[in-house]
This record gives sequence, structure tokens and C-alpha cells, in this order.
Amino acid sequence: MKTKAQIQMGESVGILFIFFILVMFSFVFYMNVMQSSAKSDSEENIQLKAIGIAQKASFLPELQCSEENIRQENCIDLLKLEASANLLSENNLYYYDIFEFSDIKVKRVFPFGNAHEWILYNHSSSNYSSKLSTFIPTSLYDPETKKYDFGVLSVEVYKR
Amino acid sequence: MKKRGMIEVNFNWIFILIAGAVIFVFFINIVNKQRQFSEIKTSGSIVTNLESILTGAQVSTGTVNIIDLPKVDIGFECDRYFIGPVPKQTRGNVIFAPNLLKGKQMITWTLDWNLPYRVTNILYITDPELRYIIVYDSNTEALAKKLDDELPKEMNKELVDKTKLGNLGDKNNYQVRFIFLAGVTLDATAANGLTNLAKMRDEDVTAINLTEPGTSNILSNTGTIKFLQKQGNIWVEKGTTYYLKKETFFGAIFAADLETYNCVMKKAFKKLNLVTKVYTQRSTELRTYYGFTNTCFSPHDTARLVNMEQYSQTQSDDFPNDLAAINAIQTTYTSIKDQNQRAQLFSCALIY
Repeated sequence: MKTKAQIQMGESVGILFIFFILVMFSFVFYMNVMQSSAKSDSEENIQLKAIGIAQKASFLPELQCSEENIRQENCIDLLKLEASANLLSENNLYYYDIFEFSDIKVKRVFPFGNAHEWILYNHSSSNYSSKLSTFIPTSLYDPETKKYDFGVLSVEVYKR
Repeated sequence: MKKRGMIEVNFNWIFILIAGAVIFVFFINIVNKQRQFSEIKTSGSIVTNLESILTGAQVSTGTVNIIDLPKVDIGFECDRYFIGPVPKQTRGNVIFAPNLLKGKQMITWTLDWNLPYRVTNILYITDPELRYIIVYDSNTEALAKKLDDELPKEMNKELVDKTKLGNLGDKNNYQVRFIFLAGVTLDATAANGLTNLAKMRDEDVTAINLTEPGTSNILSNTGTIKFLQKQGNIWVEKGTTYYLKKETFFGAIFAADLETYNCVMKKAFKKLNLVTKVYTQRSTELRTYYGFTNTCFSPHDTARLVNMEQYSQTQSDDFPNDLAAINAIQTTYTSIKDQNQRAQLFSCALIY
């Protein structure tokens, strides 16, 4: 037969057990809330990164049109583009520090029938969890003919 | 012999102690983990925000931005910066900054580096709590005033006549950088400017000395810079380096030390090399397009661009080797500029 002290002790242990269970539940709930908040932060970060990379790509001196060193915004020099396509692939490691895991392409969409795509930087990640694409309309300047075409600079940023 | 009741009371107290200790340890653990997590999260969020700010600052040149920061220490190195335990690589960027920013604000300033075509945007970072003292003599007063005008007005900077260096007071800044446009007195005399800064840590008081500033108010395009550091109440030379155009001289003003300056300069020369390769290939294409008989053939001669490629490659590997090599780059960029003007004269496509 149990004594009064044993019963009291059992009660205390029970109370502690329930207390810890409640603490554990609260903790698990709190961690879930934190996890979802971290997820949304990380989503925001990848969006910021994508915009940053697109910005860097469109302001790259290796691509931008210029006359007497006066730069034209939203304009890509076609001869520079041809040269940069090789340069960026030869110096992939250097440009990785700027563009990280992303694909950067320039597509000529006008004049029709003269479509062409230049792959500027290709460092895609095979095991990515999400991908964010940014498209920047741009003019493509041909210094030989001094004519402008119309194209799209597409930047795809991978999140691992 | 103790009674049963006494044993029960003692046992209860021991039980309460153990249970209390377990609960206490449990909560301390949770608080500690949460604190660490929160620190990493805050640092990560500052790094992300700073990254966006730096990207924005880099694409819009000639701008000064004042950025309010939470009270955190931001450490800068040549290839990365870090906030708390969170580092961020900056290998692709040319950034001159002190090794530590402690303030609640950060000043960012961006300038183009053109040789003669745009190579990169140089980003300068500092803190309004950092003190910059431009020291001049009668020959360099005009240059000092010009530099003072060109540096962002938000910077904590002052012009001091070399003869009045002894009156310089300590204003409780966590770092002081002297910019000597006059000869430096290394020894422990009032003329070296260190008399009232003796209490500051040696590594927090540094200087650069432009060895041949000339007498004009225009900074020459190339030159030699000596880095110095306080040691007690004297100046000690840390080494010599060079600048190419005023943008990199400003870089020396902002850079933490000689090693960081040289490392950032190597990155800038690497970028010059890559951009020049693009212009070389572009001019080669244009030359082929125009053909030998065309007047536009000769302005697109690539010899100087190829020289620039070689010189920049050497500097990107071995900077700083000698001033002659830096002068060679300067001469080459002047030639490319002339060549571009010739292309313009003949209504050809320009080189840059």
C-alpha cells in the first residue's frame, strides 16, 4: 500500500511531466513558426539576389553601349556581346563571384527572322530548389551597321 | 535516530532542487540557442540588405549615400566583409573600406574608373565617426583644398596646416587616418601630429603620404604613396605603393592598410584586363569589317589595346612592382584616347 508521501511524490512527478510536455509542445510550435519565417526570409533574399544579379549584368562594362565613354542605359553592344560570351566562359570562376549560380542569356527578338541567342554565363546548379527569372528588355546596337535591334536580357538565378 | 517525517521533508527539498535545476538548465539552453539563432538571423538580414545597398551603389556612379545601420560591427577585408559570424564574399567587386565600421551610419561613395573606357565602378565605404586629416604645406594647400572638395562632404575630414599639427586634439574617434600632402616627420616631435593621439591604439592611427604631390592643385595621374602607422609617438613606414588616376588615390585614403589596398588594386587590374580583352576583340572585328583600304582601318589598330592587356595582366599578378609600369598604363590609355578621337574624326565606329 502506498504511503501519503509516495502519492505526493507521484503527483509532483506527474505535474513535472505535464509541464515538460507543455514546454515541448510550445517549443515545437515556436520552432515551426520560426522555420516558416526563415523560409519566407530566404525567399525574399533569393528575390533580392536575382534583382541584384540582373542589375549587375545590365550595367556590365563588358556589354554596355558607349560613345566616347558616355554610356547608354538598356543597350548592349553586339560586338562586345560576341566578345564577352567567350570571355565569360573562359573566366567562369572570376564571374562566378559576381553572378553565382545563374544563367545569363541575351536573345534578339526583333527584327523577326533574325532571332539569335547568346549564352553569356552558364553556371546552373543541378540540385536547385527554386529558380527565379528576370527579363530585361534591351536594345542591341550593331556598331558596324550603326543600327539597333531589340532583344531581351534574361537572368535566371538558382537557389540551392 | 531521525524520524520518517524528517526524511520525507529532506527528500522533498532534494527533489525540488533537482527538478528546479533541470528546468533552469533547460530554459538557459533554450535562451542560449535562441540568442545564437537570433544573432545569425540579424547578421544574415543585415548582410542581405547591405548586399542590395552595395549593388545599388555600384551601378549608380558619382553618388554618395548615407546608410543607417543597427549598432553592429562590420569588418571589411579585401575579398569579403562580415557582420558577426556571417561573411559575404566581395571578390568580384572593387571596394575600398576601413577594416572595421562601428558606427550607426555608413557612407558609400561610388566613382567610375576609366582607362579611358569604363573599367569598373569603385566603391568607397567609410563611417562618419572615422576621422580623416588632410595635412598640407604652402606648396600643397591648393591641392589639399581640391581633394577636400572632391571627397564627400559627409565624411569627417579636416584640413590642417603642417605647422599646426602640434595643436591637433583627440576627438575620441575610433580610427584616425592622416593624408600627408607634405613631408612626414617620423620622429617624436610635435610636428608629427601624434602628440595628442598617444592614447589611441597604434593600429587605429594610420597615414598615407603622397611622396611627390607637386605644386599644382591637380593631382597627377600616377604617383607613389607610402603607408604609415603610429607606433607609440612616432610614425613607422609600412611600405610603398602606387596609384593610377585619382580614383585609386582616393582608394588609398579609404583602404584599411597597404596589403588591403594592394589586394583591391590587383582586382581592379584584373577587371581592366578583362574589359580590355573585350575592346581588343571588338576592334579586331571592326578592323576586319572596314577592310585594309578603309580610313577606319587604322584607328582600330589593336596594338595599344594589346599592350594594355599585357600591362594590366602584369599588375593583376604583381602589383605593386614599379612606378614605370603604372606610367606605361597611363601612356597607353592616353594613346587609346587619341586613337578614339581619330576614329571620331573619320566618322568611324568608336573604340569605346
